[in-house]
Amino acid sequence: MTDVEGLKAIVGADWVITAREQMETYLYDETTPYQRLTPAEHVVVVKPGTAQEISEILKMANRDKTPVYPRGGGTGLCCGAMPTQDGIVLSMERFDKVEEVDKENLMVTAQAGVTLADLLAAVEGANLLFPPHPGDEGAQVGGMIACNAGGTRAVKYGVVRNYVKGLEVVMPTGEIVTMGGKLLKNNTGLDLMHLLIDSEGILGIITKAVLRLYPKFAGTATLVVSYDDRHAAINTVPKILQSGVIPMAIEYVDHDVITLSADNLGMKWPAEKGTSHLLVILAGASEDDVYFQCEKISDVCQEHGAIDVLIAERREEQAEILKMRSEIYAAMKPLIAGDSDITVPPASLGRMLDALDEIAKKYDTKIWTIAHAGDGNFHPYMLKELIERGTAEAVKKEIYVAAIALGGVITGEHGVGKIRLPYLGLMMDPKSEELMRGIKKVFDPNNILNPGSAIR
Amino acid sequence: MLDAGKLRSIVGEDWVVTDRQQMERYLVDETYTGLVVTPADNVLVVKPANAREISQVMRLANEEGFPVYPRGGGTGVCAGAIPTRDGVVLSLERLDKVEEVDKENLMAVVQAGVTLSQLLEAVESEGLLFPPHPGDEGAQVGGLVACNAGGTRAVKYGIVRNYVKGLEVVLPTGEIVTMGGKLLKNNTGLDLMQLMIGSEGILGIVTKVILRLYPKSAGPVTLVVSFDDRHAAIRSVPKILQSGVIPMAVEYVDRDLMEATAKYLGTTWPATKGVAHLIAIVTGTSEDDVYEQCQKISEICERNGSVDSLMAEGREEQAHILHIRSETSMTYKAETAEILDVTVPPAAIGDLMDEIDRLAAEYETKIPMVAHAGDGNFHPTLMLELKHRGVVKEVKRRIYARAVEMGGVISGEHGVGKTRLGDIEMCLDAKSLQLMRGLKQLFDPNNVLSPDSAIK
Repeated sequence: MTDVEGLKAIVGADWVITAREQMETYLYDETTPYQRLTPAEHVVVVKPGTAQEISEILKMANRDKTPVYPRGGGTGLCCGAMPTQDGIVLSMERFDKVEEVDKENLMVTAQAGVTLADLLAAVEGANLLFPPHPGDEGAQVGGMIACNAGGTRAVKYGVVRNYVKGLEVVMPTGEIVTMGGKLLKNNTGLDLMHLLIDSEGILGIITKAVLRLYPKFAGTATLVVSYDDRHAAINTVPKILQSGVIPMAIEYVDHDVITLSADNLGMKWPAEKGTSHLLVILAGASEDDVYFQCEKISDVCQEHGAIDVLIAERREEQAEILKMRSEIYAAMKPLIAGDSDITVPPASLGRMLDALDEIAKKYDTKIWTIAHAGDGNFHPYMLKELIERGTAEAVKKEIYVAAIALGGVITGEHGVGKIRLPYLGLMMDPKSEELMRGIKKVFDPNNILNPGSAIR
Repeated sequence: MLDAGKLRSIVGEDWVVTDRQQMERYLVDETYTGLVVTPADNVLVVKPANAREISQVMRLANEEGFPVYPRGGGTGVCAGAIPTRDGVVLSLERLDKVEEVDKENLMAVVQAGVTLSQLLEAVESEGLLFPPHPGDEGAQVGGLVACNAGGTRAVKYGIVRNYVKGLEVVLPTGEIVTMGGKLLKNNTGLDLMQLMIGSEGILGIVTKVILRLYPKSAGPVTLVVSFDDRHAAIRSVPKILQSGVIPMAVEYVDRDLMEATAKYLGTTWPATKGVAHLIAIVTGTSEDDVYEQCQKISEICERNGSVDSLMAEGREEQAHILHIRSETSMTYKAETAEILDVTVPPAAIGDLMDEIDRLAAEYETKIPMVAHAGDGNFHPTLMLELKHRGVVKEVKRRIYARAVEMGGVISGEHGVGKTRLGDIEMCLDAKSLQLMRGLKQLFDPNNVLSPDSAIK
């Protein structure tokens, strides 16, 4: 049993929840009901205020061999934050300060519980830019790093990993360690920081992060490019990437999906033509440069079968388009069994789409899809009807196998968590898995931190 | 004693060197004169042809307990590749094929022994771009990855780590493992690939690499901006980066050093005014964009006190400037005790330079400096006379101490190797060192791969 009194002594009685009805929101993440697991029965939620308190909790957990599940914004899609054994949910919500926006070094220092929305507000308030946008703005900084979030706007400067320059981490055994700093280069010993990034909360609890920022671009524009044929849309993507213009984002959406999201938000999707759209977000050093890029991308798209191009330049208009895109999952969640997160080489996007068509045909269903197309990252949706027919599992597995056959992986950005563990064997060799288990043991000898997640 | 016969049976008669005279160049790297690292007496050099042979060499090493020192281009400056115990130097020189330049995915697949110059040639002949330029073009790709090379041109898209998308690695225990692929997003399990990058050859031997490429952009144009005052030059750097212009490179050089280097190379340095120069390499989406960025940089520098600026547009003229910059370390090579590699937050670089000037005055010596100013990475040269006077260590440690106080590290890009092990505790805590040892033990239980390097 969890030592509740011990926890209260560390964090104060106000910050420990034991009543089940008060902790429901801490037991789940955003995984669809069909895919999600069952939380354990005896869970205590604790809300520490400092790294020191986390350290003491982890030392206690090692003493008692109690599992600890670190929790950020709970926006994950693979049950990574779900407590599946009796133990402690450790919420980072009180680590909510943006400590510094350093305009000289173009870095922000933020505590782990700062939400993406708060981070963006602080950074934009200083007239700077944090380029990636991993969807739900309720996500927390610690979680974005632990899960190496991707999302839109990763095409030009990459996924969250590329922005992380420094971390403060409480190790599973309780030591508080800082890694990196406000540094653009650092080659001192093995890179523990890059091992912590994307470790899905099994190697340490991130308490603070230093993130690289960029100056605001002089101009941005969002193109909505429409096609009658989703293949034409997808096949345009590698051509855009090869054109010499590197957009911030190249997104693919089915018209049906994005209009559902718009309806759900009470908004209106601006493009009326076509069955498929590409959203291209461009940024440049001057208005002229952005204009030049828009022209070039429009030309490439029209050469490859686009039927309409709409250019949004006003800030609010662009924000609305991004919002409808970012909140697709909220609209889809009630309709679907689950979504997938396969990633293939960018030039294989078209072949992956062919494979999805074949699978849809074989199982007599529709596979709606969206894609961070510039990154080769697809989110095909499996409709609920597949659960009733008992084929959801088979469809998912066929999608995985098809992606792997194209040189891809089963998760590009959402991570393994607890729901993809059974599929790791499809793509990972036994030696790599053995090393991952070994690393876990080096960091967490008693296996108390988020057990049953990310590796098996 | 080492059994050359068994090695010959793996790689073939011709590919084992036992004669000391024929192996001299395999026993040293580019480590500075003042840092004497003596190679062991009984060394064999083997030149395997592929990953399979390397795997067999590693299995033999584990069975018989001899150390293996992987060797790329031998351009390292911290004795990482020097065999300091009796054992085998394993040269990657025969893994020298550029297997594919994939224009559709914008990726290159190259074997580890391909040199930087070969890589650049293959990539450029396809009209594509591999942005970073870590100095000596004799460096090999495997080494660039193992040492996470930096160099100039890392400001815009980052150091080598950011380009590595896939690896084939022979583990110390002999297994051949592939990691990643032609993928821009990949979150499957702990990221072993990121751990391998920057591991300085102690966790595995990189045999093949997939690198991200970029389409050729407009430019480059190289600006050389002159200042009468070093601080004015350094102060301009964050102003440039904050302006929204992100050059590929922003280098700081002392004019004295550039003129001495030019003289050493039998040529002349083009900028004749001022005492301190910034070199900015600018690329963009169009010629107009490049021109506008150059204008903006010149204006910012003028506002911060520049006295002249020179714009090189021709390919040869630019190559000439970059060549002189790349060769600065050769100028005083015979008189160099050591070149440091400290890295601080970019905005602190001026303060650190002040400190170094004060030290130079205090110790009555000269400390020539170049800096990858856009990265906060900084190479002060300590002269051999300091060593003769018995104070070189003291000066070095005082510089390190200041850098660490400013939030910096003792190595930004060159790595720890064997020559910085003694100082590593100045910037790494005991727990981090313990974890690094644990990782080494996990990957290489018999400590056969490049022992005594990178970690202690």
